[in-house]
Amino acid sequence: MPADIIINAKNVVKTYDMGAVKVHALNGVDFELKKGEFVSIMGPSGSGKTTLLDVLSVLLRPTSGEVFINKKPISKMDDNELAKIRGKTIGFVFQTFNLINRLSAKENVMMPLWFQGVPKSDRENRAEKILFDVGLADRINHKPSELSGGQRQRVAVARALAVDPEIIVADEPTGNLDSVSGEQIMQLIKDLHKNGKTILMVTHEEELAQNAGRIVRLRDGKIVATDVVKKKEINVY
Amino acid sequence: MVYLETFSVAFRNICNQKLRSYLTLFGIVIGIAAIVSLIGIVQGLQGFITGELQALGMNSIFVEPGSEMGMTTAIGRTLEENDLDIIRRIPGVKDATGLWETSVTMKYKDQEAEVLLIGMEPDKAFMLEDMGYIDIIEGREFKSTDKYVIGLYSDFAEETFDSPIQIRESVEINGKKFRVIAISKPNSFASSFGMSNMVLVTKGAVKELFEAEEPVELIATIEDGADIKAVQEEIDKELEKAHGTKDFYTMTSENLLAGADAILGLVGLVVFVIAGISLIVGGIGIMNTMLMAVMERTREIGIMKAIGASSNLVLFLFLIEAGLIGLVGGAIGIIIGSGIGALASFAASLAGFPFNALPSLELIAGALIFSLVIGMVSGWIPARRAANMDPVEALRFE
Ligand SMILES: Nc1ncnc2c1ncn2[C@@H]1O[C@H](COP(=O)(O)OP(=O)(O)O)[C@@H](O)[C@H]1O
Ligand SMILES: [Mg+2]
Repeated sequence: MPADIIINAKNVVKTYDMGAVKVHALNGVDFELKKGEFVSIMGPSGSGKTTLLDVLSVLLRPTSGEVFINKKPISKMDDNELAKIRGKTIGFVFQTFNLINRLSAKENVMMPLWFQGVPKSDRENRAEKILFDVGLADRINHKPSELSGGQRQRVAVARALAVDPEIIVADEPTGNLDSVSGEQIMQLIKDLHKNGKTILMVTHEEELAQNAGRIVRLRDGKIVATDVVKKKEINVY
Repeated sequence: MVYLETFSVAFRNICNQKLRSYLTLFGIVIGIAAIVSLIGIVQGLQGFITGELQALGMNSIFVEPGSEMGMTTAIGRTLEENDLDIIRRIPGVKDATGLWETSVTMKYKDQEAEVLLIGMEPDKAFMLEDMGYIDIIEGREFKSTDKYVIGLYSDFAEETFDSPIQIRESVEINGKKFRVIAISKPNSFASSFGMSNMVLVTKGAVKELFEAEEPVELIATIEDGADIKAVQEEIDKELEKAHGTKDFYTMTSENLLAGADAILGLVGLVVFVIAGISLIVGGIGIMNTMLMAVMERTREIGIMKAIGASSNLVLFLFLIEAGLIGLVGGAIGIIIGSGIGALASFAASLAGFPFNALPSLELIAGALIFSLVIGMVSGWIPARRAANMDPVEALRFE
């Protein structure tokens, strides 16, 4: 495989055993993500988008098949090593924000830096700078409950960026936002891509998916199509 | 670095915990309070008794009538004045003296009181002074020529009758007038065992007035460097030979100490059973609190793991939180236990046992470490549960 492939999935199957029934969330998916790419995952509800994203971001182990992160197979790694990969190379943005409610915006952003062993004063400086970059300079000490949905998602983006990961993974990042905030978040993600981040985004809105360079279409746990998006401007990569 | 930070995060987390979860601290608070107060009291008593017995002299051997070790107040007479000569001849014995004791009624200004007359040998009074039995603060020493004179302990002199007895006044015993020639500091050892009514006279007075020819109790001191056990055994042997039977027993401060330790050890055992039960209850309480916390914070755990917290770190964080909860319970328990100890000291000093039941620094440190460990042990299962949580499942948790 070429050198610039960061995530590579081979014949990934994910089956949820619900006792009487088995739910086949993923049915043999092959996927590659190259450094600097922006890929959208599309599909109807229940088609396995979230499951695929979780597997690709090593949050979830596949039932069978293999996922390689920078060419290393994750089946050979224990949970602590997977946590390390997530903490270092992947930044997560969730549909439901998933901020810790009793912590301030700054403390939420500082948390992944703690797991990387960054000293406290550096963590504070870094968190303040990123919150400034995402336009929340005046909301640093606010709790999530004191922020609007759009602001919360920007805190989440800031948290994803804290450790300066290679990849940003976003699962319907605008799904819980009004259209104005949604556009702002989308713009933020596009800027990140422009600045060199690799982006993997789940959405069920065609218009948002078109922001990517490539769209992977899922149905019933299978990739049914891969579209290359034609664009006037050329990617940095 | 990553793990060090856990302590301050854990501290913040337990500060954020709901008040109700602290109700489960009750068990550990009671357990630690029981340990701290009761061990403090036992140690205080131990220190007190050791101090008193050491004042009596670690070089003294007491010979008492009867065959059982104990605090004899009933006066038996199986010892003889001649026994003193036998004892004085035994190698290693420095000196020996006897006490001629009898219970009598003392009259002072129309009032009467029961007292225990202690008749001693004036030329051996220094032995009693060395042992702290007598410490004259007013008046003079006894002389061999003294007959109807008496020495009083200051607490007795002040408190027995409506008006305090003054030096050089007289009291009446058996129709004879005794002049008070000496006032001594209280003998705290005797008064702690309820013998606060001792008065001091010469052996001559007891012999003459009460026809008590023989001493009730003998005291021997040993030479520096002599083996007290060996001397004690020799006294046992020689006196038994002279008496034909073993109608007496000997004891040393060490024997008394061992007896006291055995009793205190038993008290300690009871303490540990009580404390152990409340600590088990306390541990279950902490486990319950932590299980609730893990459940309530499922999403938070999912978030932490998703953004890079290792299972080990999550395990460590919850263990530290449980340990800190234990520590908080322990600290409250120590405060309560110290309060009980202070009350006990106060009550005891009123009752004439001036001892310190406050916990030592070692006891406090031990109790803190112990409560931390209990917390962490109780937190093990909840922490494992948190650490093993699947991040995706945890994030889906409502
Ligand atoms: N933890 C789970 N347990 C059981 N079934 C699950 C679980 N997670 C997802 N599924 C099922 O797997 C399928 C794919 O789900 P998901 O990946 O969330 O789809 P999407 O994100 O495209 O809506 C659905 O049928 C869903 O019900
Ligand atoms: Mg989904």
